[in-house]
Amino acid sequence: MENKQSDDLRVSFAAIDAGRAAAADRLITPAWYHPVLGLLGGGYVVAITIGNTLTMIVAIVVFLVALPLMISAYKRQTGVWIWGFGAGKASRWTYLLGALMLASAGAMFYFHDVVGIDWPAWLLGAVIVVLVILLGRQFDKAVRAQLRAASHSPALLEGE
Amino acid sequence: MTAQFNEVVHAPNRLQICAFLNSTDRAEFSVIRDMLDVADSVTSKHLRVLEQAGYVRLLKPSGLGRVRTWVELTAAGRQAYLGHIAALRALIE
Repeated sequence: MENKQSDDLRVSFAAIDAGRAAAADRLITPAWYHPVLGLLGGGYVVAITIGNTLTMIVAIVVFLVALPLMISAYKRQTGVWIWGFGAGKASRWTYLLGALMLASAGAMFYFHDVVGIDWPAWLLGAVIVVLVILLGRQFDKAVRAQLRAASHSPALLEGE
Repeated sequence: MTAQFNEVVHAPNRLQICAFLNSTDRAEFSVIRDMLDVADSVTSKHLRVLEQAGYVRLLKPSGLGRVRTWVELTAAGRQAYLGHIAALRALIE
């Protein structure tokens, strides 16, 4: 009786591990995704910081059209989707990226409006591209690591 | 999380589906089928059981190209899955 129960438990935890490992295997971001997302984000922040009204409108339209298209292409290519802000502990990388992008935008505004120079905005735009690529990859790595963690980990019960 | 053994979730294939969907926000039908390494009909059967229990939602977003079926865990499904794991853990502790 006890053996049957322990076999049953083994099968159950093996199924859970297999499901989580399969998710980790699928969550391989296509190589183009982070560079394109970085260019989109960096370009958008630069445009709305130092651009004229027309540039800002174009940047907003391009961003609002391109982002859903990118997400859709990602989903079609990988067959899965995970929201960067809802991935447990791995989401700390997404929040860090958001904070650094906001800080960069603040610095761009400062140089443009207070100091009166625009070249730092281009530099910070390039920094955003690099940050999206590096922190995006860190996020992917963290998600895969937490999914491969043992199924009896207490973290599992917190919905990670 | 309240530990609650759940017969619907407990079947190994359905438990694997729930573990997979709990780790992603949404997954395509063919990805789940490939993960289980079973036929379309078997995958459909398990998803139907979970859907009837209110644990998964099947979506067929329209757009360019062929229509693909996407699956996501509902809030009730997530609760049932996590409660079931808590119940399994209680058995080994």
